Amino acid sequence: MKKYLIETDNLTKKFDGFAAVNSINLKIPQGGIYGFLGPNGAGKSTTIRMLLGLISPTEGKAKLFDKSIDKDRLDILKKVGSMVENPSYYAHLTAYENLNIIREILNVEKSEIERVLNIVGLLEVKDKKVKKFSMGMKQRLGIAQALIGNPELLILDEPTNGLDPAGIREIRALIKGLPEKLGITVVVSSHILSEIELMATDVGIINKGNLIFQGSLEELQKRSLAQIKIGAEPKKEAIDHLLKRGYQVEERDKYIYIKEFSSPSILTKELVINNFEVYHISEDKSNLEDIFLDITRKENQDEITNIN
Amino acid sequence: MKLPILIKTELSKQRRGFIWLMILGIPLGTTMAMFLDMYIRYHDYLYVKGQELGFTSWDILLRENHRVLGWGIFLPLFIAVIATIIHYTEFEEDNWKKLLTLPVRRWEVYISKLITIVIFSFIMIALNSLGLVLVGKVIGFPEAINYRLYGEYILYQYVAILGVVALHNFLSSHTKNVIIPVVIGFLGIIVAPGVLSKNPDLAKLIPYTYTYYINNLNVGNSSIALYGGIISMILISVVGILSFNKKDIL
Repeated sequence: MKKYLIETDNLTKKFDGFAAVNSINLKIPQGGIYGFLGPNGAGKSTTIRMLLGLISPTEGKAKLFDKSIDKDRLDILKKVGSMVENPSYYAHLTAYENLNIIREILNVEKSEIERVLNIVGLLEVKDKKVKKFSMGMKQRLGIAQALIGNPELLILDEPTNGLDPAGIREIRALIKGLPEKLGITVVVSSHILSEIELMATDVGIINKGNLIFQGSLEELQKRSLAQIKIGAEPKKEAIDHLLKRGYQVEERDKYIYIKEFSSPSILTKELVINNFEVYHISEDKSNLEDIFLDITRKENQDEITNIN
Repeated sequence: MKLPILIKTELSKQRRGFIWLMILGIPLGTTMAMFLDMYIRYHDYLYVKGQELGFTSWDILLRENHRVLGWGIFLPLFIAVIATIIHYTEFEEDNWKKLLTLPVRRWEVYISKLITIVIFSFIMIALNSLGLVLVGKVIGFPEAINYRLYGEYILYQYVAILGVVALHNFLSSHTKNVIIPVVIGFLGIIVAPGVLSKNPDLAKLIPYTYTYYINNLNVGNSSIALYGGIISMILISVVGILSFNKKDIL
């Protein structure tokens, strides 16, 4: 049976009646990287803040390491490193001094500072004031802060925010190596699907406060069922014929799209035998981005329907 | 128990910070102002007037500092600024969310801030009095220094400010806007003398008035400075901790 490091039960946060997070049931497995994906304002940061005890849920519960964040906050936080939204730092202090503050609170060895600085590649600038750091360096310092004390769980909220492509690649490589090298379970939130796709083993998609998908990356990819794109004349009669034969048919941009099918050759044969002129047939496979957009679009449409 | 470590880290956060400029600069300013005051008025006027009223030169210096220069009036405002600086350190780069995701109890964080404000305020008060001693020595007061008087002056201030420390620890922990607690502090020192003269009973409930009771310098009954400081600190801190424990860190 799969062991979950984080489990939530109908976790909800309302601000003045508005549900920023709406009854979500997260199940984040131990090991690997869990990508928490959603557009800006979807409720990712609010969820993460509830998981870390920064804000109290309006309803529901959050459990980390089988313990309630309400009751065992200290025990849980001893095992968790985090960076929420932007990195936090004291700008007038050096990187070393910033990390030393956290080290003292966590009561770990001084050597821990150099270890994490080395991991994030900031060892050479450890005595430089953080206000002189670039955005990428600050981001790496944020990750170093989260890594101090060797946490079992690392929660990183939008860790590649504001970075240039080279910086994004660096941070991605760094995060990707953590489960294997240090045995850390990582939760990464992002609004950029390609980021998650390149890092995560499991995915949760949140939109408008609702968790609309949760599972492995493979399960998400399976949703990218190929469609058959057909150009046939006369089109209207061809659609009627296919519907009668029990196919799921959609008409878009002069073409007919079939969602469930046996194979393109059977479909061609079906149409040709029945005297339809087939001038185009191709497989149209959606990528992960299309699936993400499709899932979030459906969620939005459902909401509009409910309002009407 | 992480409180001692939290206090230590609070102090290290202020390393190279603006707060030191304030803690050292304000007493330096009061020392210079009192030196000028004594240099200009001591021999011709203050000493003679003091003799008439039965005050020693050291008594006069203390009164000049507390009442004429207005140290007793402005002290709560200085404390408001100290509290604001200490809390702004957390607000500036969203450090609250980092600090409170570490394994520390919220009440310990809250109290560590309170103690840090107290430490900086105590240093500033002690330096102000040390500056006065220095002025007396340089001017060459004929009487021996009354250490008891100056010791009591410092200790009474230490206790009298506790209510204002607690109040501004509470206010500054709740708002990112640094102007609000400083404006409240400013209004506090403006309103305090008016309430003291018109409604002395109500004044006992306002922490901004407690510095007026020190050493009976402005108004009588120094015990109000002591009891008021301690009781108001406890009450305000209890409310502050309850509120801080429930506060959402957004």
